[in-house]
Amino acid sequence: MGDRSIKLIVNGYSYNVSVPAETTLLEVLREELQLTGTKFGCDTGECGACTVLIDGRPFRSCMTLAVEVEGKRITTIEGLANGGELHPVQKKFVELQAIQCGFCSPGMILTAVAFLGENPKPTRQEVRRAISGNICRCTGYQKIVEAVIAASKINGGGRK
Amino acid sequence: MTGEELLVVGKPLRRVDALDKVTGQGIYTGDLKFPDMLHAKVKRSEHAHARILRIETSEAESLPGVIRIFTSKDVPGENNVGVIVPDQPVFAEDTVRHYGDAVAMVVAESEDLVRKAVDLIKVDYDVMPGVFDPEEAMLPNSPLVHPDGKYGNEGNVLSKMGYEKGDVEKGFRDADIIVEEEYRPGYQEHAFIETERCIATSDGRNVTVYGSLQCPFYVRDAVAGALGIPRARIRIIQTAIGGAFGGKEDVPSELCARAALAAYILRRPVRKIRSREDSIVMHTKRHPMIIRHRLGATREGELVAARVEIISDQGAYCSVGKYVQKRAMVHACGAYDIPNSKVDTSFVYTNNILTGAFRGFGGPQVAVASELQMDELARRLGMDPLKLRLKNIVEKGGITAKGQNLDNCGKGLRECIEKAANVSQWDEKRDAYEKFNEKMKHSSTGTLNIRKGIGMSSIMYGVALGGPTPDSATSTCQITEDGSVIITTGGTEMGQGAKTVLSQIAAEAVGVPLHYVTILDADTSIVQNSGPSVASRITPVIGEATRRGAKEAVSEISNLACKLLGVNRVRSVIAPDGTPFSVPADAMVKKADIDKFPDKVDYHELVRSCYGEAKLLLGVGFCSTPTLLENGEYRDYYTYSFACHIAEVEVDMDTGRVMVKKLTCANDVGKAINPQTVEGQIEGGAVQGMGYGLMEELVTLNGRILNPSLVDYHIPTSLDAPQITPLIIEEHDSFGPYGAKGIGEPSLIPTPAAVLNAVGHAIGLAVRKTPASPENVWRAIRDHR
Ligand code: FES
Ligand code: FES
Repeated sequence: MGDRSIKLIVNGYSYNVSVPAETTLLEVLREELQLTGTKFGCDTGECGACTVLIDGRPFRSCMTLAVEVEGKRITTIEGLANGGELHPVQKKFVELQAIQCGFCSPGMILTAVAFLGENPKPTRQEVRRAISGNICRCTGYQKIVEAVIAASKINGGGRK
Repeated sequence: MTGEELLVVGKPLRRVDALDKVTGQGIYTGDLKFPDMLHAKVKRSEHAHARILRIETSEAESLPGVIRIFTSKDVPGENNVGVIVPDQPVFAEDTVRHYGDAVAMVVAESEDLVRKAVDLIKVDYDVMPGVFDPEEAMLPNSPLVHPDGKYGNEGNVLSKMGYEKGDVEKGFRDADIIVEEEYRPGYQEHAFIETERCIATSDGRNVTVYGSLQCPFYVRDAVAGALGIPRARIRIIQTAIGGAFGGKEDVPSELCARAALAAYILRRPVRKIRSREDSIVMHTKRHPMIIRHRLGATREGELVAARVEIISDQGAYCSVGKYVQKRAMVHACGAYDIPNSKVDTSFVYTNNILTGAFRGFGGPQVAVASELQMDELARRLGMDPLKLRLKNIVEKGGITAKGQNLDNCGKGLRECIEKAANVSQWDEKRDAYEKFNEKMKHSSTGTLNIRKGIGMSSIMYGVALGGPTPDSATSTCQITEDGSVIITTGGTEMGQGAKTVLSQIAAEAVGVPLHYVTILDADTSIVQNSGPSVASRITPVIGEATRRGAKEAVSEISNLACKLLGVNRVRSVIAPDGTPFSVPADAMVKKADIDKFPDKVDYHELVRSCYGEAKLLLGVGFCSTPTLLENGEYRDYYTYSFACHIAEVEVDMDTGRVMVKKLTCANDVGKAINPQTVEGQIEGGAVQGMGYGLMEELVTLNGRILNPSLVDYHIPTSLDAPQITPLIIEEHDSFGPYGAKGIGEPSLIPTPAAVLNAVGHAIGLAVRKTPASPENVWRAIRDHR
């Protein structure tokens, strides 16, 4: 029924999928590509749990149609660690316990990674502004802000 | 304890689930997939109170890909669930009692289809008058929610509970000053980022349910009841949980019962994921309360009497309401020594959303009343709220307002208050802000009409499930041939760090590094029922069972070590390279020198020898809390933990907008098993509590929730959350593992009141209707003018 065949580049690999035109990127990632690290918390753009990077910039995959991102470079949480080595943001999230239930973490980490790419030496307030679209119900944000600041201080913190 | 150095406990070790969670490898329920999996969604009630005349499903059924539509007729067993009383239907039968009732459920091949089919179900109702105000619900002629009274309810009153201590009337006669006010703390929505979800599978005989759930055994019992099959044929497996906070305590029971029913009948896996709207409309909320609080004191500020009346909206079903009621009753007068006290509580059925478990369990609501009363009293006496509190707090050896003798705890509170005051610079700021506000009042040139305030709230919190029945738990520990340690308990990791903390406790007891330990996910066919993961009981109660189980498992290893070393007692030392050794208990050896120390045995050798000699390296740990006293009386709670939170705010007098600038949070945790995790709990709890006091407002109209989305129901974002200073206070407890008490709930309970008191300080009058939203603050200011 009107399936579209599209080519996606996710975490450096290219995939061909055939899905209805109204399929969201979130659905394709989770249901077709089994990349379940990208979470869905609302499906209506409210929480930011589904954030992925598209050409290095954060987008809500539940609000993005798969056909719109054909040929673009998509990074999900599974593709962030570089050959097994954690991204500095991931490292600091682990070290400073910026995680509790972990459901917001993939989206939060990717938002932070994109932000540090643009603003490698941010203030705490700038970090708070950057992640304000990603809701976390568990941590109270403080350890997340600290982790992003700490990541900005190590080499390669701004790597995307 | 002998004062020996702890190896693993008390250290800020990294969370055992951290790596999974930052790389996207953690498996949550929604990440599981089964071949042939079906999807399900319920048709919710369209009225708050109505008789169901007809459910028309044929159009929905005719959609290709729709497999079946279930209603109450399809339930083979009991069509109801309920932890305390079975008043909540799996599917509404002849009556709907609130908007969140499930009338039918569509099972189909895709999520898209179930959504479409649900809209095609037509239900004819005979609408009945509803009751939406708990006080109206208590009036003689109001519509009845459960007319037959079979749940022990009288009319709409589900339950009444109260107590009196001393002579309250006389107490008030002796008082020089009486403060009497009404408080209305409202609903709170859990807003976990992962909505409720489960997947059920069945071969038509046995049923397995995977889910995001706090209490797997509640779910097992509910599924068994609904299907009418023995519990032994049901297996509930917990996956990673994306936040719970009480909202996945009994809530998954109905959800899983419906999914299990479909899987059982269709013999195909059935997945159920609640949309955000279904989640908010269907699951329990924090109980809104009307609290009338009368407090009497002497001129010097000594409390002499308290009278508290609480009426709470239970909504359509009991859920865990009576337990919340008991906790609210015991804590109603706060953490103070009050010789004469009387508390009455009524929890009342209405046709509103049902209310139930939410982190704090009645505690935050009663703290709003009792802590705002303390500030009101201080204001009228012209006393510093801090001094008024220190004058009246109940301490070790004292008697709580409810009448419990604090023979085993009570030092933590003074320490919390003093530390928080010190670190936040209470005295200086109180003064400075008052001067600032005075200046602002008279300045006409300022662009912003700002006031500043600092306020506090101090609480006590009864740890674990209350008496008279002791709270008990079981945990098993096995040590494998390679020295690994496997722990099974029914306690669940929901983000709070349970697995990390239990791992640290087990590692400490066995004497091995943290990574030796694995905590299995709760699976009701493997683990024992360790009671629910609620009431901040995992660390103290399940943790103590785990410690005991681990000690038993390692006992043969220790015996062998004693024999080999020729001593009566041994202890563990972990070498710098991570190898654990046994050494004589009194050996004066540090871990750095262990290489050169001769009197030691490698743990791994000991394990191998034990296996060689066919020794059992298995322990079953069981413990029950000391709630019963020798004289036949009982403790309301076996122990208390304490907290004092201090908030600093800025209020815009023209708009009523409040910014929380700082929170200083001192929490007594007995012993911080992992200080970093404890900090995380304090920070997260405080911000959730701040949300409740400041901004979270569920809007209802005649039983309908008008803001069932995170766009319209605002929870704190990173821009709302303030700078937080968590302070850990440790008043060693004689029961809990290594002295630990719980932290999950007392991290949240004091914050709403602290924020409200800071607002009160800033604007010079109290905001008694929560939250302190711009509207409520602005109204309070206007009404005062
Ligand atoms: S799932 Fe996309 S914003 Fe919530
Ligand atoms: S860690 Fe649970 S939502 Fe952020």
